[in-house]
Amino acid sequence: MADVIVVGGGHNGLVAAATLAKAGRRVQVLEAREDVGGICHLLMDGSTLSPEVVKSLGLSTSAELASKAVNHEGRAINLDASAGDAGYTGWRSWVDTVRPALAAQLDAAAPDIGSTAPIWPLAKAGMAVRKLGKRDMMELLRVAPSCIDDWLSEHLTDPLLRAALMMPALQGTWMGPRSPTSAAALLLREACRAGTSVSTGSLPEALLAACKAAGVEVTTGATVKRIRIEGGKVAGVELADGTPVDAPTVLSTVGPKATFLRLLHPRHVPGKTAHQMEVVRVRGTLARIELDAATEVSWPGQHFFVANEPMHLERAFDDVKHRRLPTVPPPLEVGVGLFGEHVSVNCWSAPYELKGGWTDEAKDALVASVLESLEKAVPGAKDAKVVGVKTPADLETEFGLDGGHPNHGEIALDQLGPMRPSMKLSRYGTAIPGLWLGCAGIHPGGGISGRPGLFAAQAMLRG
Amino acid sequence: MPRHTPFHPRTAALCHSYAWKEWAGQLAVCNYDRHSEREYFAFRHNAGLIDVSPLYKYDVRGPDAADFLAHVWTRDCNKLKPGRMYYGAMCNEDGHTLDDGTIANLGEGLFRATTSEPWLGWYGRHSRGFDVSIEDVTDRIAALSLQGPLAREILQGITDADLDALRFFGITSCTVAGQAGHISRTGYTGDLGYEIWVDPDGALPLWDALQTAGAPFGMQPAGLDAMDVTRIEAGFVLQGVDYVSAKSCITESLKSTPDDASLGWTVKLDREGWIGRDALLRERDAGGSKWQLVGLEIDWAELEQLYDSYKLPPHLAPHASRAALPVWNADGKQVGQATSSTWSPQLKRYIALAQVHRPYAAEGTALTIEHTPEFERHRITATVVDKPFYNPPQKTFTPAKAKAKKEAVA
Repeated sequence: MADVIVVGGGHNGLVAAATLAKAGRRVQVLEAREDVGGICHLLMDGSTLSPEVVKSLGLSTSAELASKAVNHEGRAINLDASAGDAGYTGWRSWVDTVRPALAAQLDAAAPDIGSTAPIWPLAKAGMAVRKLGKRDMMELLRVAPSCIDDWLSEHLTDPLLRAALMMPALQGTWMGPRSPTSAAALLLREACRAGTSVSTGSLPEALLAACKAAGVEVTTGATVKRIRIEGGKVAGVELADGTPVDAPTVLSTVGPKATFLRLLHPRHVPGKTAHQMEVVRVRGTLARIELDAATEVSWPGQHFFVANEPMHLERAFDDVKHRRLPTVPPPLEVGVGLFGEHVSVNCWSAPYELKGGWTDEAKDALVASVLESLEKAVPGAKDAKVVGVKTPADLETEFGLDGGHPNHGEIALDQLGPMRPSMKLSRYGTAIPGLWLGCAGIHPGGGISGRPGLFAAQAMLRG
Repeated sequence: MPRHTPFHPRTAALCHSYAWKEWAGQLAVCNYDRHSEREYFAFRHNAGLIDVSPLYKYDVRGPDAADFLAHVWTRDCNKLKPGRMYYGAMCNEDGHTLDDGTIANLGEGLFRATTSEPWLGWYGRHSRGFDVSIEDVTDRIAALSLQGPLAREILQGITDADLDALRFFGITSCTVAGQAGHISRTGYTGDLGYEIWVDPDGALPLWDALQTAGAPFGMQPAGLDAMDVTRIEAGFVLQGVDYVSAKSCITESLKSTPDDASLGWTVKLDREGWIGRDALLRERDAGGSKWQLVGLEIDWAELEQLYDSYKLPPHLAPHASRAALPVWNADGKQVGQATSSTWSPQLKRYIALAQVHRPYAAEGTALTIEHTPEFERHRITATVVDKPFYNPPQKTFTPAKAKAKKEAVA
C-alpha cells in the first residue's frame, strides 16, 4: 500500500510525487489520461517554473524562448529592447527591481492570516515590499491595482509591443487590457519568471523520469471517481471501474472544485465549504488548434504572438465577456514545433460558456476566425491543414479541467494568495485528515509553476 | 396578509371567537369559543379536530432520497421502511438545532418531510451531489389532525385503511372520505391520534365527513390554544418557544443543540456524514451539553399559600403560557428558565417545560420558579419530574397486534 496517492499526473502532481518520494514516502500517482503532464501539453510558457523545483528534481533548463509579436500587417518585432521602443529599458529595469519583492509573495505557502500565531511569513512578505524603498514601493502600490493598458502606455509607445507583453499575463484571467487590476496579472507573471525556461513540451517526460528515479509508481489511464472517507479520515480512492486503492493520505491535484464537488461524497463536504468551492470562478477561454506544419509557410519564429494593439485584445475580450464567437480576428499565441511536429495555436478568446454551446458549427467558425487572423500575420498560413481543435469544453472533458480552465481557478485579486481557493484551503491541508490539495487552484497558482505541488508536498512532510 | 387554509370556509364559519393567529403565513384558529376548555377536553376525552395544513411539507424523490434525508436530518433515513415515519431534528454545521419534524417513507422512493419552518433553500443547498428532486408541497396538501381516545372509531367510519393495524408512527395510503389520501398515526397531543393528508380540493368533503362521523362521539373542532396545553402535557417541545431555530437566533447563547432541546434521543453520534455531527462530537468530547430540557411540577400548596397571603384565590392564566420564567437552585442562583407552562386540567397539576443547567436536571431536584401575584416577584418550589406528564396507553397501543398476540396465546 502506498503512503500517498496523488490524484492527477499533471506537472504539480508529478512535482509533489517526486518531492514526497525523495523524502522516503511510497507514492502512487493516478492519472486519468494515457499520458502525464496535463496542461504542459497546452501552455507554451516554460519560464515560470519554480527554480526550486528545477534544482531539486534536476531538470534541465535553457534560455527563455525568443518570443516575437506579429501584427495583422505582417510587422514583426522581438519582445525585448531590440523592438526599438525607447521606454522599454526603463520599464524592464523597474520590473526587475520590484521582482524580488513580488517573488517573496509566491515562494512560500500562503500566510495563515486567519490565525494570530505565525505572523512571521506575513511580516516577511510585507518587509520584502517595504525594502524596495519608498519610491518603488509607492509605485508598486499605485501600479498593481491599475489596468495593464494604462500602465504600459505610460512607458511604451509601440502598441504592438504593449499588446504582446500583455498577452501572456492575461492568460487565465477574465480580463481585458482595460480591466482594473489587470496590471497585477502582469506583475504576478513577472514575479514567477525564473530568467531561464524549460520546454513545456518535454517537461512531462522530464518530470516522469524524476518521479521514476525517486521510486514513484505512476499509473495512467486510471480515473479516480471518489476519494474514500472512512471513520472521518481518508481511506484511499475508488477508481471509475470500482477498484478501491487504499492509502492513508491523498493529495488531490485535479482542482479544488473537482475535489470537493465531485471526488468527495457530498456528505463529507460541509455546506459552507461546498459553497466556497461553488463560487470559485473557472471560466476558461483557451482553445487549442493544431496545424500541420508541412505546409510551406515562412513562420516568423518558434514562438510568437499575433496581435495589433491593446484595443484589439480588449475587443477580443468583449467577445469572451458576451460569450460569443470572435467578431474580430482574435489575438493568438503560436508555437512552431514546441509540441512535436505541429504548429500549435492557442486562442484565448474562446468562452467556455459559449452562447449556443460548442457545436461543430461553432468549432468551425472559431477555426475560420483563427485562420483568418493567422493569415493576416503570416501569409499562407490559412492553407495549413487543421489537424486538431480543442475548445474549452473539450479541455474540460479531456483534461478534467473545470470550466476548461488550465489554472483550476481564474487569476484575479480575490482568488489569489490566502484566498486561493478559499481562506480555509489555501494552505494545502483540509479539514479531512489525510486529504491535501496541490495544484494551480491553490496558492500561488500560476501556469507551469510547480510551486503549488512543491509547497503541498512540503506541507505534507511537515505534517 | 395571512392566507387561508383549504379548510377556511368551515373553520371561519365556526370561529365565533374571531381568535386567529398566523401560523406559517396562514390563518389558524386559536380557539373557536371564547375559551379553549371545551376543545381541550375533546382532545382528552373524545376527539379534537384541528387544521394543520400550514405545516411545511417537502416531497423528496430520487435514488438518493433516503441518503439525502439521512444527511440533513439527525435520523438515519436509510433505515426508514415504507409506511413508517420518523420524528427527528435538523442541525446546522455548528450542531445547533434548526427545526424538528417528521419524515415519512411513502414507498416507491417518495419521502415527505414536515417542519415548522420553510427549508427549501436549505435542502437545495445541501442536496448538491445527491440524485434527488425536492418539491415544496405545502400548498398542495391539506392536512387535518384528529386527536383523542375516540379518534380511531371516528376515522374508521370514513376510511378503508385498517386503522387497528396502523402502528404508532405508521403511515398508509388509503381512501378517506371518498378520496385518495394518506393517514398517519401521528400527532402533537400525546394521545391516540391521526393526521389525514389529502388534496386541497378534497379538503371540505373530508372536513364534512369527519364532522358527521365525529358528532356521535362528541368530537369538537379545536384550535391551537387547546393543542398547546396538550403538547406540554405530552412533553413535546415547540420550535420558537422551548428552543429557537439557530436560523432565527440573534445571539449565540440562544442557540440549542438537540440535547439542550430534549431532542438528543433523535441523534446517533456513531452514524457518520450528517450535518452537525462533527460539532456535536466535539461537544460530547468537551463534556457534553450544558443544558437539558426537563419537566417541572410547581408546588400547588405553596402557590395557594402565596395567594392566600394576598387574600386572593389562586389565579393562573386560563391557557398555556409562553412567558419565560426564571428558575433558581436552592442557593438562589439562576440555573435556567421555564419556556412553556400550563395548568393541566386533566392532571390537575401546574406543569412547565424548562431548560436548566445539566447538574439540576435529575428527577426530584427541588428548584424554585418565579411567580408574580399582584406584580410582586416570589419564588415557589418547582420539582424536576419525568416527562411526559401525560402518557396514556392508547397513544401507542395497536389493537391488531394485541389481538394477534392474544390469539397466539390461545
